[in-house]
Amino acid sequence: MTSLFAKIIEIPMGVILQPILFLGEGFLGLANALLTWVVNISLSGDWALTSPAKNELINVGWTLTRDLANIGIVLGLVFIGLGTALRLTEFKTQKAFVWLLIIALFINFTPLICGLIVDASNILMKFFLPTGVSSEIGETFLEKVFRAHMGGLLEMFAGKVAFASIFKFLVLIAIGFIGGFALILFAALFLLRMVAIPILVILSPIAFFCYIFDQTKKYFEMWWNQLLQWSLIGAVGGFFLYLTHHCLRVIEKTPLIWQRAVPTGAIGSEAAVFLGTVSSYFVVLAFLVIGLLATFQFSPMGAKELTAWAKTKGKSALWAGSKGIGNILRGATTGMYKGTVKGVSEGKGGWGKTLGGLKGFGMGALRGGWTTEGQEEGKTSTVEMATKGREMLEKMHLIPIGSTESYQQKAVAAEAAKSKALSTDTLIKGAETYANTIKGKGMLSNLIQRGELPSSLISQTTKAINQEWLPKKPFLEKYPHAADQLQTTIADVTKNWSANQFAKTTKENWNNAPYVLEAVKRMGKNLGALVRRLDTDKRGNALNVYNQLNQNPEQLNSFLDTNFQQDRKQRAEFIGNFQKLAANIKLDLAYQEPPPTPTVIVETGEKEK
Amino acid sequence: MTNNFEKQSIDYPDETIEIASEILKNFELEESPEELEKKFQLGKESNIVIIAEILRKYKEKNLSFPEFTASLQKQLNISQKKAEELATDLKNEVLSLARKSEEITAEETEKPEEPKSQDVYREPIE
Repeated sequence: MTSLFAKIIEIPMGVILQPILFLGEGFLGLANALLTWVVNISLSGDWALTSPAKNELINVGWTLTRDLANIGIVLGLVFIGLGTALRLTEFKTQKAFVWLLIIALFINFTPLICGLIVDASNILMKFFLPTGVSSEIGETFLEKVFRAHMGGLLEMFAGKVAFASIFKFLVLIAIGFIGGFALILFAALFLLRMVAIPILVILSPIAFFCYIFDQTKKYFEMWWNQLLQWSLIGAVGGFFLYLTHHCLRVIEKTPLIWQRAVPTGAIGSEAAVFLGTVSSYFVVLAFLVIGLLATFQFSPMGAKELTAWAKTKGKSALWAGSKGIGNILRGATTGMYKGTVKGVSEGKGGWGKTLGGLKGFGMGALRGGWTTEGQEEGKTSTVEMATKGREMLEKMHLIPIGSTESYQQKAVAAEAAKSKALSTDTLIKGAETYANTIKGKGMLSNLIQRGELPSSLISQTTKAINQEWLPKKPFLEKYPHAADQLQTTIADVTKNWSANQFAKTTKENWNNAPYVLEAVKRMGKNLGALVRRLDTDKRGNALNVYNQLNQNPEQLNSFLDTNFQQDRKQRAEFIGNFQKLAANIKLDLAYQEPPPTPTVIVETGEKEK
Repeated sequence: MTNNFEKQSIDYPDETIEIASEILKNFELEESPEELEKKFQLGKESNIVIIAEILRKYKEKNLSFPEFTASLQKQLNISQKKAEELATDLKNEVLSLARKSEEITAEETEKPEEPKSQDVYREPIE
């Protein structure tokens, strides 16, 4: 039985997680290949970063800017001459003249000056990243972490591995994606450096020219900072990759403390041994990520954008990936549970219940894991469970009273924000499809806000409010006629309302007799004019309500007794106003009796409507 | 929901029912609160509701004045003379206020044409 149980869990899990694991491994391998390629090109000298003689791009670009700068020097000379003759004191002409002469000389040697800085950085980079170091980081992860542990996992398809092995999948997936992402960012950084430095060299004559005048000096400083940062970032990045590589070597040589600490034969020991082995690699991974963040601290222009991208897109991509896996797992688990409960309850007899339970378990896992509705239900179940836990903590006074309610409503508000832009029709359909999920409740929230909640969704909404998923007040402000479903009355809800507020909600509530009676009580004869401004459908609803009350006066009697038992005058006034309301409706609308419902005589002889 | 109600081509002003109610009072046809409540309990309609229905039918079916009077006499169970007087008052004070939808639409849409502004891209022909 245990083996069957294990198989039922492991096989679907294996099917779900296996492709993701291969994807993670592939991603890490790709990132490693990219980094190796970029580092090799950077340090090979095939792509000269500063020399116009070895790089045609720099040659063309730099020659052009140098000529431009030389023209600038001539114009500068004229300018200084004029400035001196006209005694333009705001331009420090004498000082500028000295610098003009020096810069005129330097402009022709800017690649050499840039080369000194960049080469110094490259020497450091070459020291930290000798041949093979960058590739060894990714390869070690692939070899020691992935390939060493993936063999056993493949057996999961056959249900031979213990349930705890699912844990391995998740850890390996995390290592694959996080490690791959870090390596790709290092590669992107080095690649950007290879483009940025030649551009800075090309711009160097202009930058040097800018140094001559105080007004343009800031552009030189900007260029100089960029050159220094882009040069140094190679050395800094190389340093952290070197540290990561060294860390890997140490871990390979030194016996692992965590691995030795795991008792043999303990429950879940397989997962524990695995964790002991890979936890060391987590340290390496942490080194890599922290190194990357430290390298980003140098953030020259361009690298700043890369940092921002990594922070937003990268984070959200990782988050979306892990959320997706989480949704599948949550959906599968909820589906398993619900399917089993349903199967057992619907099955007849001992075997029937067992088979029903097993069928429900398997089908539930598949539906929950693979369908969007199932995943949404899984997500909702998680919040429900968390809510129950929070309620217990609230009772124990460990968290503030009422915080659970806001926790649930925050979850719904987040879902509502996602569906805010959808059309009303889509929201209505979505709320019906995802009735039992937070997503559906978020859609209801949007419909309430728009005042477009159809009557078919009122009871679903009041149920969600009673379960504290949605706040009561905004709903009742628009749909007070549903007050009785929320343990209150229309009179209570509307007691502090202005006539204006009452008039606003009248439109959505005309099909409800208690609401119409309350409206007559509150608005008196003014209601007549209001009802005549409603569109034909709503007036029709009002007339229906009037006719219902006329044919069945118990409801009106009960209202009169509750509200005007003591006050005969008010009672008379109310009846008068009610008649005037009816007259106002009838002035424009002819009431037609609906056609009689056809009666169908079924075979049993009973009459069915 | 299918709508069983047909939009009419007549628009009465908001104060129609109040005016009709005053006329009923003048003819001593307005029920006391007790009478109103009794009628309601019996499922009968009050005089003001009956008047509203007749007013609607008068315009909707283009009833002639004698038909309108006869209708009032029959529905309110009053003498012919009283019905004629009531019909006259209603005609003068209520029906005269009613406007056909087409008239309103025409009023709303028939705006005086604004003089066309001068075409700045065209030189005046001298």
